[in-house]
Amino acid sequence: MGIKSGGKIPRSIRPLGVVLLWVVAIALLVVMVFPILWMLLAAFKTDNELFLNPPPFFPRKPTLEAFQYLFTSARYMRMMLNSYVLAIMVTGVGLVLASLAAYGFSRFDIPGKGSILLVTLVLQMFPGVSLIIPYYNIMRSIGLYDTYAGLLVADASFVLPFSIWMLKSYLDTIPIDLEEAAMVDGASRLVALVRVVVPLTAPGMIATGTYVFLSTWNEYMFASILTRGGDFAPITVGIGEFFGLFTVRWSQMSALSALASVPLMLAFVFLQRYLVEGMTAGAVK
Amino acid sequence: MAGYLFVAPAILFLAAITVYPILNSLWMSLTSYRIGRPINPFVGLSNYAQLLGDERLWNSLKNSFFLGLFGCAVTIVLGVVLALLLNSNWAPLRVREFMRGVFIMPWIVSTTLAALMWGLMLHREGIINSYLTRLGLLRDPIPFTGSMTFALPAIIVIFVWKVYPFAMVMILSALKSVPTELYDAAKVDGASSWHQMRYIALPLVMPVLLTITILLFIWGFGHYDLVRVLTGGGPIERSEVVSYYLYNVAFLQTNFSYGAAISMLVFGILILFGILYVRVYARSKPWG
Repeated sequence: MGIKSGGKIPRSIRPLGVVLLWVVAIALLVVMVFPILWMLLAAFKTDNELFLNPPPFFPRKPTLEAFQYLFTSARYMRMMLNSYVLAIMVTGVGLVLASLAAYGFSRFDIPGKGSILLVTLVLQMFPGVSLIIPYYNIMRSIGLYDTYAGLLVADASFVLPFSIWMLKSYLDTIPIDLEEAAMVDGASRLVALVRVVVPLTAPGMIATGTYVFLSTWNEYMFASILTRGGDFAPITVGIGEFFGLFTVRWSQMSALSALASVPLMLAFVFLQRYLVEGMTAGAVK
Repeated sequence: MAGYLFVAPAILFLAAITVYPILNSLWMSLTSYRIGRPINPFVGLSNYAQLLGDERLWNSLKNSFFLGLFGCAVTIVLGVVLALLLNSNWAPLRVREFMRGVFIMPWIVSTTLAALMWGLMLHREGIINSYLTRLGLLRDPIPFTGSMTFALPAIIVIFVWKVYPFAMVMILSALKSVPTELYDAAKVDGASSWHQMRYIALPLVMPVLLTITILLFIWGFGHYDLVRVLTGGGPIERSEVVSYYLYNVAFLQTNFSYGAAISMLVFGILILFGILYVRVYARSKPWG
């Protein structure tokens, strides 16, 4: 989505106004990005340097100590792996379930469709904390506590509703004629779905996939309560755990955060267009 | 009939992992169940009676309400300002698209990461204290997240930083959906830019604004992560929100039944906002 339209600047705010807007925009930009920059720089500093008064902006003697510690720590590397495994699994399962449901809602007249969709919309806004006690009990009693499967189920519960909505509003924009043509030619509905609809919905799938991946990657509450904190906990738990230490190791924590976030940020530079389009598909009429 | 087959897996899955746990939670709230105790006898509504006299609960509800209210209000204002900024042509399109790409970045930062980034800056010896004292605005550095006055405001600031991109993106796309012909027509009629905004853009953006306002309030009200990681509800419960209190009761004090009663209360409160949300949504259908 480009920023194509937009009101013309009224005569009254030129040119002093334009200068002012530049100043405001750049000031806001700096304020909003500074926390991220500061964390990335902190990863290359020592803890002493972080809390000098005033703190130097760039590390005086850039050091990779913090990274070295992390790369040799089996525990944190395992958590990083867990994050990828979980995010990929939830994205896979979520996309399959959500795209089937979205297709059903978009193409069939299902009695009570409106209410079912509204209920899922309401579900997605409830904070996970209202479900955490029964989740913990159930996971413990069926042996899913501290497993990938347990977290997969919990995470899927909060990404599925919005995924269904995103994909459904995307599917609604694709004309039904194409599948019908394929079915007239003798393809079954499922074949038509896989051969014709899936390729056409690729941008919507990318958008939904990005949403699910990010939400799972960033999830903390379920992960911190439904795992023991070691073998199956994702990296968010690892970062949260640093805060509990008697002396907080800020530069190590920053390095861990940088490792966890930089790959995502780079990917997001390319993917954000899809996500923004997908999330606002309905809002732009 | 075939429609059901497509919809069934996701809907059955959702029902299984929401409806059953809610019923389970309801049942638990009527019993007395603590980890490590053998039987869970039925105790009726006594857990609910205990809610009424629990001052710590009311304090946490008040804090949650503040987080929801201020978190949502500041986010909406910031979202509107940024969306307007990105939508008017004071700078070349490419520059504004680049800016949108940068402004959106906090969106992908997890709450634990946001807690770390801001914790680093708000630290007693961190950059914010360093400059505030050097500029003479503060006499002594304040450990913000450990301060009676500033712990909850600090959480609100970080919460806003984390969610404003969502508001910005939603409002921006609503602004863009306003047909330019409407502005042109208004200009022909001599409408000022303020009038164009007030009478053309605002009414068309209103449905999206209302919907995300309710959504943001609910997110703020139910927020848990930042409190758990940064303050643990402290100092002296000054920043304890209801989600964290619930966690504390159930998992630290291991009183599951009372925790379940609290979660039913939270659930009840949010159902009210959920109904409001659905009504606003049904009237305007901002999500198509």
